[in-house]
Amino acid sequence: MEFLFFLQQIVNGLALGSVYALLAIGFSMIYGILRMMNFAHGDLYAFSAIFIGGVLAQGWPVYLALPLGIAVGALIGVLVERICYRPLRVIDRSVAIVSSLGAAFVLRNASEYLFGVRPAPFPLLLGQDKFVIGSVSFPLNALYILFVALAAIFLFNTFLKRARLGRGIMLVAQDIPTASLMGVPVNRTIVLVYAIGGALGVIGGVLYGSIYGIVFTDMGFPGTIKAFVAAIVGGIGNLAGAMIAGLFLGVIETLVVVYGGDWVGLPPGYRDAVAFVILIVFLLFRPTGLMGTRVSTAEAGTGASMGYSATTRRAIKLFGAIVVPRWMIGPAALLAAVAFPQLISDPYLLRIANLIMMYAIAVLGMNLVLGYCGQFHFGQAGFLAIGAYTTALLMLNFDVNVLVALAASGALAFALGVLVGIPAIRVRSDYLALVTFAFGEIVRLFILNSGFTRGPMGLPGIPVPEIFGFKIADNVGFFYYALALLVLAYVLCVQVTRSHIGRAWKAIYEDETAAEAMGINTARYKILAFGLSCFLGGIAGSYMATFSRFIAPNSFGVDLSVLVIIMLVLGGLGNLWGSIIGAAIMIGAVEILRPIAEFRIAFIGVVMILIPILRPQGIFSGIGNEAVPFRAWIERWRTKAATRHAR
Amino acid sequence: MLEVRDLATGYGQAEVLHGVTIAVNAGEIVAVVGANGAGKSTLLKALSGLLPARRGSITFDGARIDGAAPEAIVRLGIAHIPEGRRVFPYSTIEENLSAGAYVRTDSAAVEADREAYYRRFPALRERRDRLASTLSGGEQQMLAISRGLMSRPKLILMDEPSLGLSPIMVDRVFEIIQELNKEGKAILLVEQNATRALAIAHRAYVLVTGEVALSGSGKDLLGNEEVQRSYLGS
Repeated sequence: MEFLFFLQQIVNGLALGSVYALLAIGFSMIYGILRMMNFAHGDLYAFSAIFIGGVLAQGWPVYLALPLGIAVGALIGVLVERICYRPLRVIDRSVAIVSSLGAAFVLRNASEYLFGVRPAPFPLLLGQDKFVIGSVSFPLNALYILFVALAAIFLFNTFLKRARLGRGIMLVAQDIPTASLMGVPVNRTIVLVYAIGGALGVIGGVLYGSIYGIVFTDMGFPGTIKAFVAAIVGGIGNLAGAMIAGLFLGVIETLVVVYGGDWVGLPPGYRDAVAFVILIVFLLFRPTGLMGTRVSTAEAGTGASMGYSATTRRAIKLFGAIVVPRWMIGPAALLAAVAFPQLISDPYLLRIANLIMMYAIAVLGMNLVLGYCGQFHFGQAGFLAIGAYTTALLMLNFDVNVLVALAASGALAFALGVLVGIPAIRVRSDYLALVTFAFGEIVRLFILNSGFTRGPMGLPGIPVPEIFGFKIADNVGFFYYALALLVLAYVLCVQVTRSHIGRAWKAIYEDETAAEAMGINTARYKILAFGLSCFLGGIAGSYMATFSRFIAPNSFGVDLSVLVIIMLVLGGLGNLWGSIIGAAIMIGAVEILRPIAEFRIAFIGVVMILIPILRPQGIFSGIGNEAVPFRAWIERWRTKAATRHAR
Repeated sequence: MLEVRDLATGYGQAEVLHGVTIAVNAGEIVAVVGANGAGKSTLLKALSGLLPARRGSITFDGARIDGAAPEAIVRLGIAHIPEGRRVFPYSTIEENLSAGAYVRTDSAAVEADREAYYRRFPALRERRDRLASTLSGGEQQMLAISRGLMSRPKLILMDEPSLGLSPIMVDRVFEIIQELNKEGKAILLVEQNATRALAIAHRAYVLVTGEVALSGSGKDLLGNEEVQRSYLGS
């Protein structure tokens, strides 16, 4: 009896796992070929599934609706490749991740706009027949789903082995230029991979709808994450591995939901955290996946290895281009900032200025770790949350002074940041992005599911902060508080990046192996970068708590981490001034776009796609590079005149 | 057969070749020698379409091929055997050979060709089901050459085929080049090992910082004092 119930859960888990397996195969294949994480993968699957559900609801027959939906999914895959990835093939991958997230945003917004935010019904295409043993019934559709998934995967695998186009895919995955020398049409092959990946994802979406009877926009992002986790656990590029890992993930998740509460007191809200924990464990201990890997280590020849990073991080000389002496800029900007609240009394503008400064602090932190040290960090939202909740809880429960709370927030964020930095010793680039991302999500899920944080209700009524007897109660007060924090953060960043630490980071960014060979303790410096980055995240979070007086876990989702990264990329990696300006532009854009709120996410997505394509070095560096400082200009003019005379 | 006129190309902002003019006639071995960074590999990459030409023209059998994609150039009968062998590491020997015949659809003849290369290089036949990454450097070079020949090219572009090989293997590679030439293939050979390359070449060009500095028959250049001093280290 007990055993039959367990078996039933296994069957349910396998059905869910089939969906993950189909998603994971597409994801793994795209990653294996281009070494690019397709963050839009899950949103593609959600979009197409809702589309098919809608078409079926219109009364279309299944045999027309399914092929149409699969074609739509394949087409979206092709468009994503063409628009977001092809122009970026040889560019630094931190910017490629941004553009891929941009595509996900656009798709999500399109889905919300076209289909609404509420879950849409999906017909149970596979029926609801059950197979009863004793008092336990087994859903037959779960078995059908498993069968459909296995059949799709088997067909695809045969295609890869036997068909000419399939063999082309395998060659491109190993070595792009050499594959083209063999006569494999590389671009067409890559498009094909995206199309097939999209189609397999759509089949997964249809199966999902057929089990649960509903499909919705928000299933997209978790879909991406599950696909990625399964792809990693299975070994990137290893399709059989991805399949088995997908099934495994589905089973584990189901078991945690059913038994987790009884066995270890785990609330079902932690369901999604399971995937993250599995991910982190695997990345740390078996980064090549359960069964090792076939394609992923084929670094040679992938476009990504041609790296653009030197260009990307060319120092930005925006202010150097202006003839005003450099040393005057800082004090002038500071003076303008100090005078700002005196000149502008509009509370709305002051609020925006406060927000900008808050974000700028978090972006500066991000800049240290990603812009200088070159380590992916996608969990800054988690550290803002840690800072915000530490400050809020201390002030609410223990009546602690705001400065003490601020220090505690920074310290805790630093400590946890160091903890997150430890994986950076073992895993690199994209994997690290996922570990940090997973950590951020775990923080959010922890806050959401804990009692002392009041879960989803959040913490209201955070007391008015008081510094040296002054109550900070209005926007002007918060303005100066934020300004002080920002200046301190900026000075900290300048000092650190100019010191030996900054030079070590730069060396690690350019070539980690070489840096190590030069005697740099790369582990220590990477961990330090994470610690400082998260420290600034915690400070920004602490400010956020006192400034907004109410915090809730919802504010600290992935969107926040992504926003911080966009601000950084916008301002230019490795440019401290740029971080502040990037924050200002993004917050400004969000405010200006308020009237067209329904397209806001799509707009941000488009920006994320375009910036890396048009200006991989950030918007500002170009101005600095093209406009020549006055003295150099004179110099150049003289040389020209001299050569003319010589003739 | 192959005519290159005033070809310029490069990477990003850096122009590497500044107007190179060379020719390969049917049945010839033509060597391109020169120092590191002279643009030898860049020349081959431009010929096979991996790098776009920025100026000048490339004509093969009377048709312009500058601007064509690499996969189209293979079909016309030019095989580029890249520097460092670049075998597909996670494919078997057999799959690597099939990859070379990707553009061909006559599967029976492909099969026959593969058998022919197995006869020629028995070491490959023994390991046909092993991953190419498990081969030694010399075996990988044999595989890379066979793979290139599987497309039945008229002209073979060889980039540093003797690089990193043992002296015995170097001898073997130069032997193979001459054998292939006797079978009627035209060969454009890029080599750092200038003495050996010039010794087997009918004609040769000396490339200096992206321009042709000297040209002539292989024998003449081998005897040329300046070439001796600058490139042959004697």
